[in-house]
Amino acid sequence: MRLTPFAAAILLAAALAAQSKSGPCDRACLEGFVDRYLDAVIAHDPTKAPIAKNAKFTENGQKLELGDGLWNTMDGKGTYRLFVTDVDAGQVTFLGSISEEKTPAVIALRLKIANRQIAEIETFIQRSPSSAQGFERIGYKWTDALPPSERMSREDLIKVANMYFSGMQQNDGKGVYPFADDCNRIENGSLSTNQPTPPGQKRPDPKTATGYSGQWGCKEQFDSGLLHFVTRIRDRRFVAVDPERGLVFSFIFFDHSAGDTRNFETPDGRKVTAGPAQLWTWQLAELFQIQKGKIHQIEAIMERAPYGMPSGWSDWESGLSDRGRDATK
Amino acid sequence: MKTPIRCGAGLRPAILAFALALPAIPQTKSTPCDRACLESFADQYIDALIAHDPKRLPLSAKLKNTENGQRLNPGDGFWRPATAKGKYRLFVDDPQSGEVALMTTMTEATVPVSVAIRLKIDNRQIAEIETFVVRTGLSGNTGAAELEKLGSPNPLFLQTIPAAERASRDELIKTANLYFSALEKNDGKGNYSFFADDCERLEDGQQTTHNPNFRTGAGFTAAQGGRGGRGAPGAAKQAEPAPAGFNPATLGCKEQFQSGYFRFVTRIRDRRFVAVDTERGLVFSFVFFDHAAGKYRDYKMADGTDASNGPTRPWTWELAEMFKIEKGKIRRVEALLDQVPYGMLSGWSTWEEGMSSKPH
Repeated sequence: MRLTPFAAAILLAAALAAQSKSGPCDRACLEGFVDRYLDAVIAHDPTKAPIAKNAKFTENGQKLELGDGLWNTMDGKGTYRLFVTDVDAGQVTFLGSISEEKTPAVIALRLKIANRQIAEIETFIQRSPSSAQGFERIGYKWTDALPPSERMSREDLIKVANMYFSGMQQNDGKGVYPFADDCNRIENGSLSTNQPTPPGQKRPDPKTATGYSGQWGCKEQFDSGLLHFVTRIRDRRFVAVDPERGLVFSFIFFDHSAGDTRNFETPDGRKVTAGPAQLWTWQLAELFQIQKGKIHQIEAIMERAPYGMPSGWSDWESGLSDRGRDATK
Repeated sequence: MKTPIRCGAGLRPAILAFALALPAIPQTKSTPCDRACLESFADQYIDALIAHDPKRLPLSAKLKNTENGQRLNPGDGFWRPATAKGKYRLFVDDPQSGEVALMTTMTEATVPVSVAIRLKIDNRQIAEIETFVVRTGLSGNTGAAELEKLGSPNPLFLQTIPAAERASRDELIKTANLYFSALEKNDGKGNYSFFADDCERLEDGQQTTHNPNFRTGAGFTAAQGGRGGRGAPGAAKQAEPAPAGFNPATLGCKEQFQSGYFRFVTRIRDRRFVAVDTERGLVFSFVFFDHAAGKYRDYKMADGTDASNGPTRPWTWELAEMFKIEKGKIRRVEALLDQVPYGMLSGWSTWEEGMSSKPH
């Protein structure tokens, strides 16, 4: 049967309409939801964002009603904006500076989009003005597309990012650490690798040091075995992967169990005591820029949480497990 | 004629004596665990903590263990860095429900900490452990040292109420809950007759009534740096309290509530009354105080004065709070508190219960 031009036009229009509502939400579409969401938060009005009726919302690991938490206090967006957009999974993640009651802070945000609506909202706010200002000053810009021939699979990108966590947990200096030579890390707005040696001081030597140094590179820090006091890196949720740009966004927790876990040996057999003396859990959002199997850049925000706290998106067993998982599935 | 032996006929006297001695253990198990028994379990728990060895304890196979609201396996968490017990111990023993709760001082590594503990004893085994370790508290980890300086709780807590004057378990809980209901969105207009005239409050080792030396900052949140402050440099600057010059800590319990100052405490939730000692008139609770911040910081005091107080960002205190109640009136309030993520749950409630202001 042949369609008349008129009937074909109707079918085409219907198809386009359907696509705009239920078709794939591309990069621009996904990233647009971040601004729509944040603008609604600034307006203290959840009805201003396209949020699904039964959407789940957490802030710093706690399930809250929409309108509670940051919805009462956020009053502006900052200039730092970094996206890890996962078109395949329909998830968009964002690390950016914000203003809360006229005070700078940093937000890590994950939105799951389904049928052009926000179905899941996961927020993690790190409340430190110096961190927000640091990201605005030195934060990375990850917007370049990799040549198609160099793109890694989703699984391989997650695998490399997870090697970072496995290498740090009870770090012994003997693992395989997938760092590029130019690797750097920014934590809470400050460079935590390859820091310049302060004038008049000597660069610490990994062979004699009893604590790891921010003056060392990524690989040097891991090779030193001095990060052993990070007892457990758990609830490793890889929540967005962007193969086009080689990016991975994760939410995790670092437990420092203190006590006897602070006593360990370096790879060359020196006995060392290091790490927090009191129990300490960091809640983190950690982002990786990976090329050809190597980590080039890392960004993280971290804030102290009660020891052992889960994310609000995992069962208890997964929350305490150190197994990495693609949390979009 | 000798009474016939029903079971074990034919046992020789020596064996019989042995057999009679043995069942003493199961028999004791089924009798209620009294005050001394309950407190001895708390001692055993604290000793096992500092020995880093849960195997020393008679743990029930169905044990549930939480620490600062998080479910953990025994042996993990505070079990590792706990090094010593302190002198300060304030018990609420509840033989009727098999619960014992206490506030005490301990040392974590080399740092003094305050600890609230609840144990549920079932069949002479520990079935539930709830531990709350306060590391920062109201003003930067000074509370544990203050409690240790006191050495022992106010003697009023240990005084027995004359039998004729004792309130029922339900009445005691009801009075304690009046405190939370009056504090939540406090407007100064409620009936605060549940406070005795001599009521005083100790929070995180510091007296926060009739004490001009206690600086409230922007509303009982002196350690505004909180977790971020310790973890990250450049924590948010504290807002100036308003009205300027008004320090609620100089007032008594009732006068504080009558002032309408505490309106910025927007929600007191997950109110769990976990141990009641009717003999001494004591109630022990675990609760959370939410401060929603934003527009909730601006309000009018009871006398109409414009006020602006409370944390400038969403803020939750986790608390262990206990009350001495006599003749329906609160004479003493004592609390341990530490900041936690806004909206955090206790680990012992559903989400709905945890977010509710209703006691459960």
